[in-house]
Amino acid sequence: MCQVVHTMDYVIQAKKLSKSFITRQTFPGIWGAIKSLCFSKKQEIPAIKEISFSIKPGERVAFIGSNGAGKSTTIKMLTGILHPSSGSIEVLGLVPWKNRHALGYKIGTVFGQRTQLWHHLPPSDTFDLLAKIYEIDRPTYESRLKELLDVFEIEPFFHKPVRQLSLGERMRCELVASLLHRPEILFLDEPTIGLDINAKLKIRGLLNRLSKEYRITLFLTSHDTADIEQVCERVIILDQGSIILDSTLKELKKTYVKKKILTLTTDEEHFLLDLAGVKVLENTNHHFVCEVNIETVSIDRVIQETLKKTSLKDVTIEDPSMEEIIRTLYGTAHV
Amino acid sequence: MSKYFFIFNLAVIQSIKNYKALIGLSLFLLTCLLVFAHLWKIAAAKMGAVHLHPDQLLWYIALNEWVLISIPDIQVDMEQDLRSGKLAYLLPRPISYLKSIFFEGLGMLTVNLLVLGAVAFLFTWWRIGAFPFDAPSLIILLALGVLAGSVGVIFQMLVGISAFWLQEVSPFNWIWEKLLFALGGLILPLAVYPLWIQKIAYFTPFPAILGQRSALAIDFSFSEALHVMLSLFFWGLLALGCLSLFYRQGLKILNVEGG
Amino acid sequence: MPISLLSSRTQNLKCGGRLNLKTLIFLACLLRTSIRASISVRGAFILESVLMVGNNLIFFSMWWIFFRQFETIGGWQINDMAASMAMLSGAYGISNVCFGGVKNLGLIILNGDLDPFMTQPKNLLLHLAGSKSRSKGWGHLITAVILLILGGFKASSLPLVLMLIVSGAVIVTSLGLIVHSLAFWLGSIESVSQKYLDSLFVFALYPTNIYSGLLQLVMFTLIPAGLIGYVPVELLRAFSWYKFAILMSCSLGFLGVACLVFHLGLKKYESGNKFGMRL
Repeated sequence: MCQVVHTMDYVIQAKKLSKSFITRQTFPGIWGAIKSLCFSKKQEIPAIKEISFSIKPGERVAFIGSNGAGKSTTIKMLTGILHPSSGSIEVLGLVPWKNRHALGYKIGTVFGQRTQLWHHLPPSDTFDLLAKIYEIDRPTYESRLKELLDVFEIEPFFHKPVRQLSLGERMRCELVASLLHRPEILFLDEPTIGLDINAKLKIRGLLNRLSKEYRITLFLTSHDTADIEQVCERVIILDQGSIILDSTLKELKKTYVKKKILTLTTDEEHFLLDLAGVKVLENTNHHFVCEVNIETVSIDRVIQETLKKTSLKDVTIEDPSMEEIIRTLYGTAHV
Repeated sequence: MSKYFFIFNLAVIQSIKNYKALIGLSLFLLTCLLVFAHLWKIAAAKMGAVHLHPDQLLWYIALNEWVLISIPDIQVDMEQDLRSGKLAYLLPRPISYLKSIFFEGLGMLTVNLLVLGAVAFLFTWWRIGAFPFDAPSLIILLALGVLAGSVGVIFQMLVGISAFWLQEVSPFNWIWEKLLFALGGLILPLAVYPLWIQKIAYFTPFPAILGQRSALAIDFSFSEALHVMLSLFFWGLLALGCLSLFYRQGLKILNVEGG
Repeated sequence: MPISLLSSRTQNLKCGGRLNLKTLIFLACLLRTSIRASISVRGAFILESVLMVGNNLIFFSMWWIFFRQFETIGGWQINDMAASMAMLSGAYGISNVCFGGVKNLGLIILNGDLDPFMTQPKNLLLHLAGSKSRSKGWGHLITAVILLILGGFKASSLPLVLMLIVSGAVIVTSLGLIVHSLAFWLGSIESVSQKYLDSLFVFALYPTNIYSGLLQLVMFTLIPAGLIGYVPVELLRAFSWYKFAILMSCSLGFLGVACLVFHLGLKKYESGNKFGMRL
């Protein structure tokens, strides 16, 4: 499969994008249900509040937020399913909701909880149908399919009905289905949901390969922070309809990772360490775990002080998990 | 018992909130009333049953359609529960699946009977200009309607239970419906058919649920009402027994072969 | 409809919604795929087809018994009833086999399952309608063949019979589309929609000349029983180009209304204010 050639600076541009929904007020109970028939009021709920972002070709972006933050709404606007209340969007030079069909030829979508594979038929039948949907000529389709079968290793079960496949196998087939027409952008909504560890690792590896080898832009939403860490290079965090962070992962870690977790296996069963900037988390059975504030004290200082009291069998230095970083961010946003 | 009453309550609330469906059902009921009234005039004339006044026929059809359209499609929910695997989540709970479905069905039936009953009775009364029932006979007719609807819910559950074996309940649902329409005296009066078909019909629950019950509008008698009531109780209990038996068999299949 | 949204509709039509050769190829492939999917579950396929034949024949036999006693109703005899039921079964058969996805439309709208279809660059309506083939449709088609044979139809009228069945299929499918598209506005009215569509089959079995006034008008519009039962039978009894042209125009009219209703509903879906939409 050839690399995608980009001629524009940005593949996605959203400017002051907003979306509101109108809902009806309801009351509880049987009398409430009858009351709702006569007295309910319309309410306008802003789901997305003037968000702006731009994505370059080949970028791997994680688009995350808690449930109800507005992620699915944003993806639906980017793919042309919903039209915005105000603001502008351009995806590959097209306005999505005006040119949904034209855009359809250039984007791929993988919805983790919904399938585009026909349940009772083998994936091969779905792929044949998709070739007609995306108007891929026979020789191109056959060569692309052969390559994708190889890359995603689905040849062993390619002719088995989808209902007989495991979730991991099915997800690999979903990815092949979304790539047959060589899209420039791939939108992935919870692609690793429900998969076991090995399957998740495999999918993440494949996504990385896709992006690096074929220069496909990835736009991913996920609740699994490992998806973000292992696949994406940039993260946009949405909270209550607004963007609270838009940064590369490197910058994120530099800015927010001010603490390291130090795990020591010691000769002494336990020992006392009293240093400013060190918060002891565990100190028994030769196992010492502490949180070190690297703005206050350096890691080597902590180890030096420890070596004065005991000898070390093992040392592990870890960054706080992405989950903790994001939790901190949410905490800051709601203060 | 209170948890099942709570389920009944929730189903009532859900039905009220889905008022658009109630409006749709009411319009459907009125259409059926008008169409079948017309058809029956022709059929009755054909039969030489000209002693049957059109007004009486309209009450007959109203009482039939009122209960028939009120019975909720609970078999579709059961099919969905089984196909989606939701049943696996419901079974370990300290609540009987069959009872919860039954009370849910009763909740929906109650709202439907109230709303569609008002529509059917008011429309027929307006159309005819007279209300032929006295208080005792009206109460009995309403009570029999509720009983017939409840028995209808149980039979719909019997159709739904076929999902354990077939995954799709619609084939059995079509057959049940066709037999109900034909032998329940909905499409045409039972008296139109040869005696041997009429005799077979009386060994089925269909006349009790529909035709025989609604015929009380034409010729009310307490003894006939009692007969209908006893038939409904008989068929209801028989259906409950079959339901319980098939359910246990179905669970065994579920445990052996998985969802 | 705001001009901007109307223009978005026409732009979408220009690109993927138009009917051209590639769309027809796609439709043929889609139908092939959905029919294969329905046949692949062999047990259910055979059971549904066979039971549907049984279901239809039980119903027909009730009428046959009536006609044995009373010979005519509204000027129709038993072979007219057989022809009517054959037309209906043929129409429902084609509708269920080729466009069985229409029945799912209400649930697809409610569950937000329109989204994957919307991101694919093909005519949404055709894609949705053709996305499922129902096994019971084959039962209907077999019934149609049986009843045409029993009704003693002549082979020379086969082209007319086929056209009348196709016209009926267009009306049945369009009506299904209109009724299930109401989910865009009214939410969970599945059971009512299905009752209405199933009742059409029953009403269409009676000759509509037994009605008068408003009810007869209803039988050619809101419940087009006359268009799928009565008029085709009258055309078989005594062909008239005028009646035939009217029937074909009405079928296309229904199709037009169905497309309009669906696209209006889709516009509402795109605004996100649809009943019960999951975000």
